[in-house]
Amino acid sequence: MMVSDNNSEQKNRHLTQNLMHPTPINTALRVKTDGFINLVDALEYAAKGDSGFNFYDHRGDLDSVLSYRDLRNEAKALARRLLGLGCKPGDRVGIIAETDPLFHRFFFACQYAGLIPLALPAGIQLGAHKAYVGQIRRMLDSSGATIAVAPASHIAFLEEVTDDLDLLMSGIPEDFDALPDKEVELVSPAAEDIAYLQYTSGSTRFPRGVEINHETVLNNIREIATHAMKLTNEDRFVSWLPYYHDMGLIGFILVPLIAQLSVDYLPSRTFAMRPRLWLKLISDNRGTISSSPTFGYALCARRLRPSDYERYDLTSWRVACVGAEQVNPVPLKAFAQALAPCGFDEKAFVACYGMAECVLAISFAPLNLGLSVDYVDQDVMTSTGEAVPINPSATNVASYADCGLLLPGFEISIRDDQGRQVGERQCGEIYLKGPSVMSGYFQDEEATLAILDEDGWLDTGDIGYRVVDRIFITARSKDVIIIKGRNIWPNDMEVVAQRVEGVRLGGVAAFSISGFGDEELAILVVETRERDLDQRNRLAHEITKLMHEHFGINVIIDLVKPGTLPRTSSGKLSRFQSREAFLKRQKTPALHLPGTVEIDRKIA
Amino acid sequence: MNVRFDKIENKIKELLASYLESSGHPELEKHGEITGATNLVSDFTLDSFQVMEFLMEMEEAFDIMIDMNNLSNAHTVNELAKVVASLLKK
Repeated sequence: MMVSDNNSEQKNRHLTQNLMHPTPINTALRVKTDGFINLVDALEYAAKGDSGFNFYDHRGDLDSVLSYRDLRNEAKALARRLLGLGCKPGDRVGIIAETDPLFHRFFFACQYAGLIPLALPAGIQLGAHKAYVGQIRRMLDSSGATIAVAPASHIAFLEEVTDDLDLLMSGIPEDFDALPDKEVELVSPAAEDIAYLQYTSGSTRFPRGVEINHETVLNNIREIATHAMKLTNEDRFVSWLPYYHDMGLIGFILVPLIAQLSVDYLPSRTFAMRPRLWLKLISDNRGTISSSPTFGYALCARRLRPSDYERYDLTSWRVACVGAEQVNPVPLKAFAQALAPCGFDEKAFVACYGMAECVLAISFAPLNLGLSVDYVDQDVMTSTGEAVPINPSATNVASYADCGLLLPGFEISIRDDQGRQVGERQCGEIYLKGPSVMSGYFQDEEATLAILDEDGWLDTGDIGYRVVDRIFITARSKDVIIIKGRNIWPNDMEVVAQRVEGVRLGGVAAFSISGFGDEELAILVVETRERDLDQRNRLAHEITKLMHEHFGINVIIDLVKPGTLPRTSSGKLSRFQSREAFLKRQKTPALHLPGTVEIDRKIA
Repeated sequence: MNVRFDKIENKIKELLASYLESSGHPELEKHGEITGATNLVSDFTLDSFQVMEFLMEMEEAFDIMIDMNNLSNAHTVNELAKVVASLLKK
């Protein structure tokens, strides 16, 4: 690994900064994605070439380079150290997933040593110290990790939690590098061994770790690389996506590695502050593949300056995937129009659909066609669930992006609420089966049985319809709220909100509604007996603050009287009916107490 | 609090007011004047990306590099000013 910081040992070992160059595109090796039994095999093959990972800093300058060859050597040495320390095969290793070579080194050391890595969040919100530490603690605790590693920037947070967890060792990478390199034999993992855990939640009490084995991850990646993206030697990946999300971890670490292609990374935080550096990196390095949820394109478009149009050359960008949240064509169109003078071709947009429970991807739109949108009658959709085509200029139109064709390994079944298969253009719940589906949630039989039946059908929770072989998603998960690429479980929000004094226990419902433009809005309906105006204000204020600290999102808070929230006959709160009732209330202007929302300006 | 610290805090107030205005956040009128106790997170409806955008403007105005991890205990304008002051000292 080459580094430009003040790590003198590594600096001496390698070239200095002014001689540092990013790894080239893969000119040395035939692109090969099949025949690998595990991730170790795939890295061993990639290590024969010259390609690898490149890390850019907050100014957009090259900071360090980790070729696949160096990664192989460093990961093997680290694997021996971890086993020498006393780690046993199958032990979990928590890695704070900052955009830093340490993540790749530890992730692959785990593969060589037969350990199971899990990526821990690295993004911290303003004033969210406590919430962040709690999240890390719950994920380490739930996975039963024995090792935890953090970059120097995050070690203080990690140290706060490791005292009362029973870990073999925790520290910064240098602490692990200082361990003795013992003569330990490294045993190649079996196809059915767990390759990694992907935590899909962790904000409150119920973190769930998606468990993916080598065979499963390699299957999905092979289908993405060959079938969906049609990767060649000429391809180069560029990404700012965090490694603790499936799109960053699978899409921009493992997919390029398994296809022996180079990747250029920008820290996620840098993208959030200076999104235009994303375009600069693609332009400078002739990137061909770079993806984002809709909001990333929107954020970038909002920050463009007129001088940018001469500065960037985006003609090389051939695949711009859009996924992770509902694909929204309006801001994407604006992005494409703004950057057309730089050579961005809107045909590069590829809508896709996926989830961590299926490694990453389920369906991809065909390449070089851009977004395709289906316009349907909203009224019919709401009343019967049928997607009837309608004139795009009609007033009651709803539009859904074509999320393309299933990857070849999947079987799909779209079912009504009685479990019967529905016909074409009829909305239903999406069930999937195939070799990319997870084996289950880690050490959580109850959660696994709730989503995966004995025949291997995965209940995605997503709602959608089919037109011939194309898939359209009309609602992401009956449960998950997705805002700016972040998956938030309503249950997590409800639990956090109930900590505020004056909120009725069990009297909170969280859901999302479509807002103005590209925004999904999170709504919290909160039951309270409080009538005092100041107290109502305080309540709303405290809940807002907690939502920011825990989830980094804005929430619209609707304070209502106890007994307002609809419940099922068994007394369970119905989020769906709460949402319907909320929307109805918004249409009937009532007395507006503080903490009671007026959201007309925000609803489209 | 010395004069220099007040200057930093005032500059942050100015930057915040202009950021809120430029990003179309009408709450400023409702909230009234920005003070040292103004809470960046709960007094306005800024989401995490807007907070980052505002921090970038602060970085440029003070010519500093703000490590987000330093800000995990900062909620108010005053606390933010303390972080900036310590960075400027270095």
